[in-house]
Amino acid sequence: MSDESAPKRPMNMRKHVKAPVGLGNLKQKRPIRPYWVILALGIGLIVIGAFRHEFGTILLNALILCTSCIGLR
Amino acid sequence: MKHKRTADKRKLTANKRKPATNKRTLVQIASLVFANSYVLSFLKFCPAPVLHCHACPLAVMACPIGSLQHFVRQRRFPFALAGFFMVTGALIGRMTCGWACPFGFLQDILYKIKLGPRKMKARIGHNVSKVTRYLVFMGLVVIGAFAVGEPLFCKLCPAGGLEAGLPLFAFDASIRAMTGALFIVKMAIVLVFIVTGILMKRPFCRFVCPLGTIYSPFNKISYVKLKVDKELCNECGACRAACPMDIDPHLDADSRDCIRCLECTSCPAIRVKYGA
Repeated sequence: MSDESAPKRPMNMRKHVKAPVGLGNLKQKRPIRPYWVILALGIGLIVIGAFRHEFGTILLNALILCTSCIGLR
Repeated sequence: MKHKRTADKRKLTANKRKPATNKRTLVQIASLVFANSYVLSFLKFCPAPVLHCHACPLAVMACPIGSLQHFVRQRRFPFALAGFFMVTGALIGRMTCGWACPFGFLQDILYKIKLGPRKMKARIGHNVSKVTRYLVFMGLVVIGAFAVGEPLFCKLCPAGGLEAGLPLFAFDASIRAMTGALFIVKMAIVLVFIVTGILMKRPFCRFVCPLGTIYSPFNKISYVKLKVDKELCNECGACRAACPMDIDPHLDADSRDCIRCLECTSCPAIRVKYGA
């Protein structure tokens, strides 16, 4: 009876007229930023590189007098 | 409409912030001193975040591009270097180019030299600079080094010529005796970049630098970004005039060419944005 007398609302308003009880989640999810992902990936790659002794390779290459850099050969 | 624009302009002038030039110059000097502080040479295992030749007698860190070519020549994937580029890029994008690179600093100084009453402005499309940069990176650093097994970019690098070639040539007689055609070519390239550096803003960074090419895609997603307030911006072009890369920060604040020097932030319409 009361439903018929009440003014009709558009569908979307009728659907959300009452907040769902007990289903809401007040905790907002923090969006994943691309720089977090890249930062994590980068740190991961550095760790992998360290295990593969890549810093030793970089050091050896940097310590040798680079004839190409000087312009000799 | 015209009155509103004038009022906006007045508001902008009143709110104008100090340019980052002085602070940046100090950081650039500090970086130059640090990069060439010979006593700290135990740091050579770590690649520098800037283009600084490790053959320089005073260099304390490894050249990232020289190291990258070494791995390419060995046909090994450079995990640590890739991670290093990703960490630097994700945090600050190309900021190291604007604030720490010694070769960039030299070009900033060169552009301050006045030749005649008016500075010659070389306006070359940014698409051209992108193409040349990627060509140099792919052609010399990656494909060239892989195919030939030699660090091709190092052979032509003007930063190496200036930081390693010239000092060793001047102070080491045995090196002087070994110099040949390649050294002359290298010095000619150094000279070309010195002359063009006087005529236009940062030619090496814009058209050649492979390290800038690696960092440039990170500008769009890095933690440090620039934001333009479109309501405040009246497109006066002051940001372009202040920009050492000759880009339009108000059109694309996170351009791949932006070196995050923050010179444009003296305009209140542009500000630094951290995160999101």
